[in-house]
Amino acid sequence: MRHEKQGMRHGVENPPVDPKRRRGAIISALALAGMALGIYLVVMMKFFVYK
Amino acid sequence: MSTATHAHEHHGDHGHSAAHDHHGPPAGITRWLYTTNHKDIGTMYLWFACFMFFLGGTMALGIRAELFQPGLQFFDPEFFNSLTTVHGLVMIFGAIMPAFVGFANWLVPLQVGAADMAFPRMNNWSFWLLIPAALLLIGSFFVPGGAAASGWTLYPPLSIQQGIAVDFTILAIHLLGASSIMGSINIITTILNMRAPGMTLMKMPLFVWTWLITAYLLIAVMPVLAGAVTMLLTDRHFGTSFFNAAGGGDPTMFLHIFWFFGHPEVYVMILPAFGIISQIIPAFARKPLFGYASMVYATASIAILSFIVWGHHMFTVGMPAAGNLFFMYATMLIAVPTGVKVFNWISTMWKGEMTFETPMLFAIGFLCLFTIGGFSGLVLAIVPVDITLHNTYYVVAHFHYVLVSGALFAIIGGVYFWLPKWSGKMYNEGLGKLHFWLSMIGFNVLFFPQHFLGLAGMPRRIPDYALQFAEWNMWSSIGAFVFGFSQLIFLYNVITTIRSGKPAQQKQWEGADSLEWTHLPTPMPYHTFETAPVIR
Repeated sequence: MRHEKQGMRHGVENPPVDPKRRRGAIISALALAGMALGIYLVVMMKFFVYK
Repeated sequence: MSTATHAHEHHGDHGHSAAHDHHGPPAGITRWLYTTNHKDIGTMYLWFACFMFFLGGTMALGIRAELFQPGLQFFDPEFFNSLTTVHGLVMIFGAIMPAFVGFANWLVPLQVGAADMAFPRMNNWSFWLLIPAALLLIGSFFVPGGAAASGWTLYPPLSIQQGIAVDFTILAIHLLGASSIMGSINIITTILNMRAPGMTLMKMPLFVWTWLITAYLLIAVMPVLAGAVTMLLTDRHFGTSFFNAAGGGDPTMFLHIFWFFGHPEVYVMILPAFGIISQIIPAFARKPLFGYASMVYATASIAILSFIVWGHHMFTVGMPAAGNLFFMYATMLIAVPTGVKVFNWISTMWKGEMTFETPMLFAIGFLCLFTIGGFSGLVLAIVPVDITLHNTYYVVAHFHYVLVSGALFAIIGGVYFWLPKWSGKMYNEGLGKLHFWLSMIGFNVLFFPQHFLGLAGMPRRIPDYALQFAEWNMWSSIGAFVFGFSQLIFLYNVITTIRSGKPAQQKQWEGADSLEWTHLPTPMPYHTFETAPVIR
């Protein structure tokens, strides 16, 4: 509700999204963010083998 | 793909007439600060890229003014090195990449029939992160010691030894990386989750395909760059010696990590250009794109191969012969899918009913000059040749043929192509053609002689040079000023179009067949596809 009010105030209301699609989008986004974080951590593993 | 979109039908309620535009944009600065509308954010990305392009271009003209004659003319050598470094960073991270993200913001939702990006607020955040990053990059000129001067690659040991400007640059790269990753997540989730019913993956326009693959590339490689510069930061300030040979570290390791990011990054800057060209050529040849499926597979092949060729940037560091051979052959392999693309673009034009409006001129310019850049890349892939030409102007000529006449020409062609749709106004065709021809001539006078300079042994990143290089440097500088100032025609044309251009038609280009042309009015309403179209 608060978000809707904010959206109305700024005139940026977003069109309603099908809940199934929203869930799919959130799962995809989390998986991709996890992939990015995982790659970063793999590179930073060098810290643990640092001599 | 084109045949598929020709078959799209407009089913009653899914279009969006101007009369339905019941909630337009708010007025004033808050529209731009808080906007979650993909069109507004796309517009901001494109103007940001335009500003950074002219900023980086001004630095390039400074470089070419210094190199007009042998001897030191205007700058001391340290400042010259800062100019080459920040010019590279600004053009790559500030101009080319944000411009393509601007195109993606505008076009991906429209071309897949979605109302907006999947995460509009994150989209806003992605854009506004660019501003502090740009301020850090530009502001680094004004700190003690001047801007970073180690080249855009930030190789140690120089980048470990220099002043606080390198920290500014590292922080800017982290912000730009976060922005790119969030933007990429948004693009992938939009394409995979928000497509209109019936818009299967193999019906998507090539531009959407190329951005889907590019976004995966970005998510895979930006964290690698982030890791490299984080370790650089700890080497500088926290007593580690990852890359510092004096402390037992290995500077070559930075090169490996950097180029594992850096080569896919080249494709981040060229794959969306392929997508734009694949939209423009069929529209002006009035034929469907030849070999749509092979274009998709070629794009994916290029992206996969880009991960296994990084070593060709460092043939001179002393790798084992087997390593050199592997990277040489893997690099040459990329010519195969790239050749497929060039073949398909030419085949699309073959027996087409061609017309040569400005976007098509830039597309043909792209095709001719990018191919030259590709061939000089093949030359540089040959290990013994590269060992001779490494760090010479031949390399500078090669990557500017790829990134200026490749990426930038595609961006400019794309702006001319979609500007009538975006603004609802038609640009001045005469000025567009004048801009193209001056760019084409200026670009070739600027960069073609640099092949000769490189073959003659002139090293890059030097403010002074031997007398034997004087003549071609003079021509190169003349070309630079012609090319640079001709871009003001582009800026003038875009601004006058937006302010006072003649109204454009709904389908300004007869052969354009993606959803934004076939399903949406011109000018477009602020919100589009609130009810998804049905694609058949």
